[in-house]
Amino acid sequence: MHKTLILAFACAAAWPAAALAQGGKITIAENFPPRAGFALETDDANVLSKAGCLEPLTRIDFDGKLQPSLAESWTQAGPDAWDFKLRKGVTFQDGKPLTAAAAAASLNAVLKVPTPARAFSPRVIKSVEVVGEDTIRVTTPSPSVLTPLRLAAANAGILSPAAYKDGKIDPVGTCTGPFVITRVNGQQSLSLKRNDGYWGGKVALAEAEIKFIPDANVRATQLRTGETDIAGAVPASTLATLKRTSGIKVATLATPRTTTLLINTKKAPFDNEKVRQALQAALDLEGIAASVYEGSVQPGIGPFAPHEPWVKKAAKPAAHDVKKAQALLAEAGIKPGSLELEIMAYSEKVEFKDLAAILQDQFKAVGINARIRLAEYKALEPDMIAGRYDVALISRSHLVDVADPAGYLQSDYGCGGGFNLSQHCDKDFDARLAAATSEADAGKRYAVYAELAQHLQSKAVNVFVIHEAGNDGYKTKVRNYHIHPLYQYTLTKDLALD
Amino acid sequence: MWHFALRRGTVLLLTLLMVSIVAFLIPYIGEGDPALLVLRARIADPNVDLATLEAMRRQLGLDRPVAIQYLAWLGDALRGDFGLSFVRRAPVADMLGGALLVSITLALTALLVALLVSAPLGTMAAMRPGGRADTASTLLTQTLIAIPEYWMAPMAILVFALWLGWLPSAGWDSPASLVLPALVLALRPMAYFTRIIRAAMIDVLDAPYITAARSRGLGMAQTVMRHGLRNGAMPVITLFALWLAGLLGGSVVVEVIFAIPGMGRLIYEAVINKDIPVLQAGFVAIVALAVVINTLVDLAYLTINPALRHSHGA
Repeated sequence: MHKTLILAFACAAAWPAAALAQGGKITIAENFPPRAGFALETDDANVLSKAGCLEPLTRIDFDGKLQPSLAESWTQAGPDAWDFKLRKGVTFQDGKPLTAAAAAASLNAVLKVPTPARAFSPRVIKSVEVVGEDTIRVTTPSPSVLTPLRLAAANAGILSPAAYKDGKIDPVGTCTGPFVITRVNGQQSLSLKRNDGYWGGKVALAEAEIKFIPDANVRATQLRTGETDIAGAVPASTLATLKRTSGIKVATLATPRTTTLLINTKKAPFDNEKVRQALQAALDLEGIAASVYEGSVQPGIGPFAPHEPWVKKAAKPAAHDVKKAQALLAEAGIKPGSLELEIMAYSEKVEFKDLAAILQDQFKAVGINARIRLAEYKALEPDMIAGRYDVALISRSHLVDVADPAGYLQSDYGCGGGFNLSQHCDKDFDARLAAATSEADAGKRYAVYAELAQHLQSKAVNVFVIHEAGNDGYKTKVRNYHIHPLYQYTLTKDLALD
Repeated sequence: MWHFALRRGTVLLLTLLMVSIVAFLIPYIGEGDPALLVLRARIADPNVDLATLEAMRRQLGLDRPVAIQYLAWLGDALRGDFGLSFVRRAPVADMLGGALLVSITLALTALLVALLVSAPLGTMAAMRPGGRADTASTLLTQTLIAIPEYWMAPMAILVFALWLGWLPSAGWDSPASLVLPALVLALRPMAYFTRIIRAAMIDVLDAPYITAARSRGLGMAQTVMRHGLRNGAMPVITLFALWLAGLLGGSVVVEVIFAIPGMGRLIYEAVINKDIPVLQAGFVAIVALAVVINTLVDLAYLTINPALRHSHGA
């Protein structure tokens, strides 16, 4: 009897440990902490989404394709209206059911804030209404085929009504995702446990901790010391060491972000297409990708990276041809050594200093005298916006709002675009873009984007230097880890430990 | 003593009033629209919609005249309400309280470590000026002063976290997390403390009362412990207080590298994001602490050295 009791107590004591071991606890080192009290219109929504807590109605999968999430289907009810049918059987982590009223209230809360998110603001969304027991209707100010994509943004994540109290947002126990937040340790870390009632099925991990480490080198070191299982955004300079280290793997993914040499197309002589093409031909983009970025990125073939669905298969980097560049300058009436320009580069992007020096050297080889102005972005931006610059290096994402580059093409290259620093304006470009944005067939829409990208490349509106890549390090014991193309998901139900 | 404390308290209040005006105006000096920078910090996108920017300006109360903003801020501050952070939307007082506690813990630990090492080192050097111990201590202090924290911190992580695996490389979640950052922060004050203790002890050990103590048959170690250290402590207390005031807001490099949520990092991020309420309250808090620490040091002088009590009329 005595032995049986001891055995029973021992089993009971060991049970939680066994349960934990079954799923295990993973530790992740990330860069950006929650900074805005989990306001969903801010980047804090992305923190919650990466933490496996917050989920939107639709989602972009790891192949970049739109998939159902909390909504199981959607249909276009009219040119400017989309109906989203909610998935049945979904409950918030506080036990309340996901209803059309709750989803609409959550989305309207994001729309009504004084400073809404660009992806989901009154500028692009007119209203969200309940039109059925399990259906909500999202209407837009003008016809749009991008609405289902907008609903995939982390900013359009759905929280339980209990999350909204006294003007604040509390995501603890109010999400629908595979993980429940158990502790918010300021800007230091988030502790999470699995959501046993997750609508998407069994969650592999038992627990998780996300630590926010601002220094990229320290994140890489934590992976090597074993303090973390996944280190997000490790610097290129640590890749060789990490790859050499036993028990560590590196995942690399081309990001939708391009380092571009902006050209002020309204300022002489850069208003001359031949001069811009000369700048393009003067640069050895493949050499730059191999040297400055240690081969971890691809040379620029246009505004979009080769892996993206809106890129022509035959697209290649502009050829490095010194003689062609000199000939183009001569055709534009520019004598060798007479063209002087200033390269603006911001110091926050650490590799820009080296990149600017290489550009300066390669321009010199074709007879262009370049000087470098290196400063903080905020010091350069007023001149860039006012058009008081020659050329400037910038790192820019082209999927800023949704998983579709229409918004980027309009803001950066449309006449009157909100961030049109190169001051490109072409009525035909705008008309084709406008037509594309109302095209429901994604394949046809993407074909137009590819043609517009080709136009920007052939007219050398800017020089697209390299397509940036994201590098995450992780332990080999981690299973099913992938970098999400929009950095929206890290902790998933399938992420596991050996 | 009480008269002195009252006088210093009045000066402290006047100083804080002056500081409040300066602190309030600082964020408005320099480049950058606060509303734009705050918006950027929240959405991390350079392409900002103008209507959104105006809405942000109204929401933050930045569309009111500066004088009105100051009076409203001072009134709230006197009630202990420093408002909400523009970026985090959390009460500034709570943010500062948490960060100050972290920084005070870190700074005091670092300075105590520095003192524990430098007191015997400086004393040994002073006992035989020009001797081996003195030469070694001079070499060590000059090296420590020359090594910047941004180099020493990664090196410490490399050795103690990566190679030896003894300590965590970053974070603030256990007492072990305190060790590496405190050691890195301790190195430079350790060098300065050693040099000043050496200089002070050389003077003290030459004093007539030390000779008298020795002539009474007291051993060297006992003489130093009983008479030398007490009298040589005055300049160290001053330096300790200066370092403490400096480290409370000035250990940004160490706090960023070791991911420590202290005052330095808080203020640094507030500067970058133009988080005006945090900047204003943080500046006032750091200056107030510096003044309070200096006042406490003056009081400590009076306690340690009775002669000063008479000169202050206490």
